[in-house]
Amino acid sequence: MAIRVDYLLRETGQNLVRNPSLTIATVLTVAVSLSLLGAALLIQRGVDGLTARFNDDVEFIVWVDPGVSTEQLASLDRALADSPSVKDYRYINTDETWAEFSDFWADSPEVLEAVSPEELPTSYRVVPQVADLAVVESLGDTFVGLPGVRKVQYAGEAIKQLNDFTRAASNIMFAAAVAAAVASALLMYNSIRTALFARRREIEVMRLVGANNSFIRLPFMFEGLVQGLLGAGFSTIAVFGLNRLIRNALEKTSLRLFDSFALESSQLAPVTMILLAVGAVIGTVGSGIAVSRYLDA
Amino acid sequence: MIKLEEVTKEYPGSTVALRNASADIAKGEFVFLVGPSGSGKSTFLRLLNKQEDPDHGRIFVAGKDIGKLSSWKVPMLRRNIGCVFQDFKLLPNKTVAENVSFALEVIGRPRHVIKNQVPAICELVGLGDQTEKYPHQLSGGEQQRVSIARAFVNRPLILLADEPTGNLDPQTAIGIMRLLDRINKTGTTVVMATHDRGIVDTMRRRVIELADGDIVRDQARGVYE
Repeated sequence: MAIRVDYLLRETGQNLVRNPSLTIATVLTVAVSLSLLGAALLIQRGVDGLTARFNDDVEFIVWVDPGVSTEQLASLDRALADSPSVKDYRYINTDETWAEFSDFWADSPEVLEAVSPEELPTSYRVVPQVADLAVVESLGDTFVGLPGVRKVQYAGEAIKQLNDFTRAASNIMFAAAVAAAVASALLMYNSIRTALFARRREIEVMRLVGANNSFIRLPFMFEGLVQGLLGAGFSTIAVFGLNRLIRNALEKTSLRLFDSFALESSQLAPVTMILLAVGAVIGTVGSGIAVSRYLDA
Repeated sequence: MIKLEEVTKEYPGSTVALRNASADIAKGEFVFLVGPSGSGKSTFLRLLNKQEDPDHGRIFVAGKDIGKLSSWKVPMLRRNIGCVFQDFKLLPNKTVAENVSFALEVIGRPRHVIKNQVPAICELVGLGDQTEKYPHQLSGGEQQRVSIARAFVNRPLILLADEPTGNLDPQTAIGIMRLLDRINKTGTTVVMATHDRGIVDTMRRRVIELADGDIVRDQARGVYE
């Protein structure tokens, strides 16, 4: 026996409109709990962005002896060009090195006077294929013994530690997102149950006049779907608002490090999708389960 | 139409609601269930539409052993049994017409059937001009008429009434009894639990008296005591 669509739509519409306090309570609960989930997802993505940024910056420097011969330099160049693990590299010659050096020490003319450009070691800036610190280190080590190489220098411990930190932070935020999802599921289930308790008489009447369990359940599940989607819609607005706040706050500071915390619209889309999906599923399934309490075993 | 064979129903806490009850009710009969509160009248009714299952014994409705009914067939049984209650059990946020058509909609009746039946049944119970009112705008007697309309709109074989006049003044109660009598005359079997001595004594129908879960009297054209 098929349920009539017009009956389903009319019942759902009437129930939503005629029980405004319960509808609002459920929608708000969904909105608040999914906003929680959305915020956690937002921050998690921001942290991920931060990690990706650091990884983008992972390069290493091969310092060359000031007295290197042209042949040695050529063979070093070839070694870099031939290595499959090297994505890109650039030679910083004496002039560029001096320019950087004098820029760095601009406030201390005495340092600049004491050093001549020829004494400074030139260098290769190398960008590896794989932006992973461990890989980068082992790659850099292959250049250590080569003739003309003075030293191989990595992005440094500081970034490595930061990287570890952001990875841990990302995991923590993911756990927080999962916890928020569970909390919102429970909150929504409770609110749906309360709403259904108020309507147990309606369910009782449906049973007594001989409605099938599926027939009884369907309008409630459809209602749960609408409420879940409505709540998720509001939480999406909240997440967009939060993102805007973060962007504004970041634009006021000169610190560009945390720019990844303000997501682009394309990055927000998956968060929105997750929230809508979670809202729809919890609303529908939660209502279905909650109704079962009042049905025949 | 209805047959109980040595039916026993106990509730947790060893309250025996019905003990070895046997009865045979023919199609088209009108039966009063009488007895003090807690004597088993409501349990008797609740067993008939499988809101409860007996601990022992068998119950036949329209020739079928309802104990053997699989759970997905229970709604079909209930479509043949209308129910009327002391507290009406109307849905407060639906109008008279909506309360009645709800009973048809949830069993999937097509729209044109609902459109025809609902005004007709509202007319039958004497509420033809009040179909757009909400239950709280009606008197107790009128609300009970709505609930009878809802129970009867599907033309069930059996109508169960659990103290339908319990909340009504005597004059209104008489109106409700006339209505149930009319429904009975259409061939519907009516089983009514009641405390109302006056009604039982006036109508002189079959009386089944219960005391502490036992059937102590089963009398044709009986009186309350």
